[in-house]
Amino acid sequence: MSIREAATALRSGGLTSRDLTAQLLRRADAVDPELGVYVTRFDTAALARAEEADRELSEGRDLGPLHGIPLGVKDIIACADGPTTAQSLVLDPEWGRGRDASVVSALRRAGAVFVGKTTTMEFACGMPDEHQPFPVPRNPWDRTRWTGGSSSGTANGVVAGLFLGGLGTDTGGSIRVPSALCGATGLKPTYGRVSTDGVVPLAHTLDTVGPIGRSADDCALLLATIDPTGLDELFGRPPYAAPGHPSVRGLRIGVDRRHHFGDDTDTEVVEAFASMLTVVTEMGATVVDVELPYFDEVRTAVSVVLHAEASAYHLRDLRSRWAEYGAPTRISLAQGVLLSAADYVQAQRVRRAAQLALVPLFADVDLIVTPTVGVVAPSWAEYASGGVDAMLDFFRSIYTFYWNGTGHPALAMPIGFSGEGLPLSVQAAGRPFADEQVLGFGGAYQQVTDWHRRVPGGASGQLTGVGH
Amino acid sequence: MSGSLSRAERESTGQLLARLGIPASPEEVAVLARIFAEQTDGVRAMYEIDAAPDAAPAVTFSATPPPDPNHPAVR
Repeated sequence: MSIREAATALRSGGLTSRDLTAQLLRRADAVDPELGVYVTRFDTAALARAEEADRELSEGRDLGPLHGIPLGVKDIIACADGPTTAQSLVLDPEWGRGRDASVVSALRRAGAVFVGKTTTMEFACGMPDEHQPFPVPRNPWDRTRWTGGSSSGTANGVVAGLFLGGLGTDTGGSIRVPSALCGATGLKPTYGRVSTDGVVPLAHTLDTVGPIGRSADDCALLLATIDPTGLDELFGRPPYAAPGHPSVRGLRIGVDRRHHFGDDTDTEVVEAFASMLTVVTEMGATVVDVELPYFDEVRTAVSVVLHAEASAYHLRDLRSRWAEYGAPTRISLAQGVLLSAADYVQAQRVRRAAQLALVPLFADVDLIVTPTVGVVAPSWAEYASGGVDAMLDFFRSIYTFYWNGTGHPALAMPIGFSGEGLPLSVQAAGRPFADEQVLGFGGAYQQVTDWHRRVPGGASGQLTGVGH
Repeated sequence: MSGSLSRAERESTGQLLARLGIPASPEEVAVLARIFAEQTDGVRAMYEIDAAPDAAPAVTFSATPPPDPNHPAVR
């Protein structure tokens, strides 16, 4: 069920928020021990808020399309209903206690029901770590596979049907990668568009907060609330009255083949990407070849900036509480101290150089599309046991870093499934602050395809009770 | 992944970490040294970009960190 469908049902009398929330919590009882979606659940508060939403709607006090909608929140984002752990033993237990991040506050004012805090990797970096006392997220399409990270629990919870949408954060791909590997739709908004107040920082000149849902339309509803300045024209507000009619007709879409289709890219990813291009071409878009400027240099710059800023934030704790961090996190965070101040400054200059070089490119094309990830979800056992080599190999197949470096908005959405039944994904990036156009591209594609509507638990037989 | 590192390279990484007070184990120092070696060519390549016309680093990206009561600088 999409957010828009639920919003309609809540107003037609066919569904109550309390029943919807209770049903999703019962589903979580059944499947979450195997999926690792939640760090903390807010059952009591969520059911009370859902009853309140039902009462408000019945009295004609309509707060908009998210009123009464159950949502999940990544556990580095403060929510007054419970603690924020950043999935770490190091974070001060009092961090953010009793307060909402700005984005959570906006959703709360819109009547959303928060069902819980979702799993990540420690401080949104490193690798999943089964030696830490937190749930490890598993892929809903195949529990032997990883979800991707670091907004893991929001992505797999949406696809497993434990809530209808949620919040993630994206510093190098942490919304788009788990969305891709789990079959969700997720948006990294333009850098600076959405507030990061009340979010545990990873790298403050890269961090973004954004939505994850089943569709671009649902992501638009969430973004319209956490960034109330936009999207009205495209999707309408209140949007549950009538869906928008996004189109790709007339769009010029760039494809950078040089940097995104190496020998290690899965054949099924290449084939699904080609099929997606055929679909949008038949819908009236024009596809042209482009080359992203400074591609390799921006990728390095993002790594330098991310690790340098994260190291600076954590250095005092790295010195005094080294053993309390998980082993993969220690390695990830300590990388930054090996870089020089000049490296950091030059990395920021490279980002700016790439931004400037993209201006004429985006004068010629409206969007640039690439695979989100060049491979399907990796085997959990191989990834977890492969150490740093496995992490670096997987990182080489991720195509999300570039757009964090330049700050442009980028959407990940499903475009097919592998022969093993694992999701495949495209990433569409647009001009700065053209998030609406990126979502419109996704919305148009999803009007004529159904990859985003598929649910796990059917042919795969991996999960019971998850179909929805 | 780069090949094996010399003892000097590992010791250099270990000395830098020790100077900053980071109590990494010898095994962790070795891993960090390998990652650092893998990054070296990429970091050097960044300096090939003449970003002189844009002297202000990342001017459109705020250098102001978000308010955070847990930040080591303000705790």
